[in-house]
Amino acid sequence: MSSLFKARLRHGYQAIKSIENAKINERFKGLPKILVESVTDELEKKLVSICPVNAIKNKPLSIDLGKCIFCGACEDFIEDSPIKLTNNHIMFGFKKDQLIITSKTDENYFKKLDLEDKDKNIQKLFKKSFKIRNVSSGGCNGCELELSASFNVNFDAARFGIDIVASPRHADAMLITGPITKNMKEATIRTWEAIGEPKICILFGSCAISSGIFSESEELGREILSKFNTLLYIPGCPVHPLTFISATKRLIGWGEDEP
Amino acid sequence: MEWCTVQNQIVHSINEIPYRNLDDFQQEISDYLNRDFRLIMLDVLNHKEKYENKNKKLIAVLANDDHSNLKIATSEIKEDQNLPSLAEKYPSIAIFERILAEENGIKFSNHPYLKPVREIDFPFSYPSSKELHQVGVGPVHAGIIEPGHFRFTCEGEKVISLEISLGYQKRGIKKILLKYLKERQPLTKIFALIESIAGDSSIAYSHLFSLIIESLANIYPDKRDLAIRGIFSEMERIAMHIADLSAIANDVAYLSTSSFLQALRTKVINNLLNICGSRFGRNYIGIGTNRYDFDDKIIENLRKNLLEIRDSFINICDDFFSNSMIVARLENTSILTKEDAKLLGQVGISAKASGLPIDSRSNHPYGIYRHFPIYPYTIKNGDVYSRAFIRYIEVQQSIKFILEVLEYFPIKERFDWSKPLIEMPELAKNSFCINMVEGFRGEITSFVMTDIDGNVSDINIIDPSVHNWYGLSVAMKNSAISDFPVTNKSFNLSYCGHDL
Repeated sequence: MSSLFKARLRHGYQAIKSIENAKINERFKGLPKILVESVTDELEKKLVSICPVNAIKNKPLSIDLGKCIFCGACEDFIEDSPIKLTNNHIMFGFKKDQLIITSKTDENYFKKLDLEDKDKNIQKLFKKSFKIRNVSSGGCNGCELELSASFNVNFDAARFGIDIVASPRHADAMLITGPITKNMKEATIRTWEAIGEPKICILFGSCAISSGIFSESEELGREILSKFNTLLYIPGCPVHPLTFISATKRLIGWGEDEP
Repeated sequence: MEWCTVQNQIVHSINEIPYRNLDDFQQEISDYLNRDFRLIMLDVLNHKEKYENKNKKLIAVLANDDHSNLKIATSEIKEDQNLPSLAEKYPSIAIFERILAEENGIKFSNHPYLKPVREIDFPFSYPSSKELHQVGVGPVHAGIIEPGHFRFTCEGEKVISLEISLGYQKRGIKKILLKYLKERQPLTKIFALIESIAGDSSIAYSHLFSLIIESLANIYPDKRDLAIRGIFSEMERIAMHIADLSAIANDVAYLSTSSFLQALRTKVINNLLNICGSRFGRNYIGIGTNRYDFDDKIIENLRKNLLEIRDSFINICDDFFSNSMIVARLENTSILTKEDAKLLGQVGISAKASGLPIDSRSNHPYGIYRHFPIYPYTIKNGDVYSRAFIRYIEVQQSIKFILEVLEYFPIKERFDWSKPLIEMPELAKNSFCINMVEGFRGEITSFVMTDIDGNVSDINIIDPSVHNWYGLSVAMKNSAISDFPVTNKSFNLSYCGHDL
């Protein structure tokens, strides 16, 4: 028994106080910063060939965060690279094309994003209680581990009323991890159908958003995605817990000044 | 017997692999299995030069852990020929025969249950008695875990049999990987794919892939780079073992330990983030060298943090393993006996917890483990308690290993590569090599073969879970169905590593 008290004392209080203002170590590969508007054809060729997921386009130079796996190859292997990965963890999109960033994307870009008016009612309904059902459909277990880490004592997503539930019947949202394999098609659709209205879908990680590094796989059945009412795209490979919480919290209407 | 003897990581010419006729081939596999060998691979070769007719070329690899060697031979099977199955007598072969039948259409004359491994629509076996009922779970589970279907046949609370149906995670990785390797795609792309075979074993897989290419391309990285890879592998082991212990504590409703360990895991993987920018150690290991070197600050921080983590960890686990309620709940739950574990070809944690010292870090040493050996601990009981306790021991062992490596940290002596290679290097022609690394679940085996132009012509990757899933079924036999969650966590097998 005494060792339990000792362990509790040693544990102390480890929760991160502010999700928005938390600073991850500067080595963290987060939101890329694009330094120039466009690059020469020669450099473009180098950048495109080194990117594992074809996320980089030129004129203007842009990165699709929905495809990017944040490997940092474009920064580390190219001399005088026009791309720097910062340790900024806040990135999300309410629409898929909001994830494409260019040199004009400034620090306030994600703060200014807002839901369309027709979707705004979910903020009234879900702000205090937002229950999520996770469907792992071909995910490599990296995103799944980070998702469960979001609910541990450090990140504590439950303080915003965000929670994972065991049954789709209890859920407000379906969260997909992984590129959606053919074999998971039916299970994913049936989970979606089992959730009561109103419901939304969240795509978690670059595999779910754009099939990521599995884009050349023949075993995917991504056409079912059109059936779902997807309102949130969270980039990452895997998604950092802070990225997930800050994005979800914005979706359900918490302001950035709220913890 | 004239099988070719090879070792982990050593490249040989394809012509050295002996050809045995099919009857001898089968007979010799059983002879080896009767001795101290275990089967680590049985596959059909995809090698054009060697056979132009429609016959399929079988290849088998067996490992002897006491003598650190591997035996390899090939055979040929005609298109319409039936292969006599060995699965009845040697259950460890069953999974490989099922994969052969599914992927290569080989027919077996007397296989006990030729269920496809990665197909989801195959019907389940039904109980013959009306006294028995079935419980189906999955593929979508009541938590954040990967998909798989478990079909329990029960008599009241008691599980009579457990049939596991996987394949939901099938992404066809082997096919994409072979395509990328043949096209000589940039290594950044191949590493990204390799690290996503099983995202919780990213480091083990990238470590494996770096060894494959380096041995085939005859590249010798600096000892310091090898040491860093070893440190990363052990950090991954520490983090995942802590996560597993936390999950076990959660499943027996001892939530304080579960929370403490979750926070501790965050501390461990944040060390990886501080070094390479990813909490899972991704995008770090490369060919020739690793992406960033350790500086003095990193070494000092790592040492300081590890000492702190060790103290907290021992403190938390002292409380957990000495609690009589926990001991009563975990002891004698879902036992996998040593005999069963050997028969089923178990590797990794479930082998060590059943008394089999199988660990490629000491049995088939590679990389830095040649200079800083690690010897596996075993426990005989094979119950959930043993599988939890072996993790407790291994975490301490890994911390000790890292501290020791940091103490005698090699100085960089060779400066051939300032950055990892991006282009695929020239590979040895007409050769093959077998590589094994020890991930946190157990040994990951790979077999790679090149053609006369030095292009990769065949690659096979076997996750430890391929061997171990059947062990979970056997351990659940005669247990209560309510023991399943904690038993499943104590095995913690990979769905995506199995499904590829």
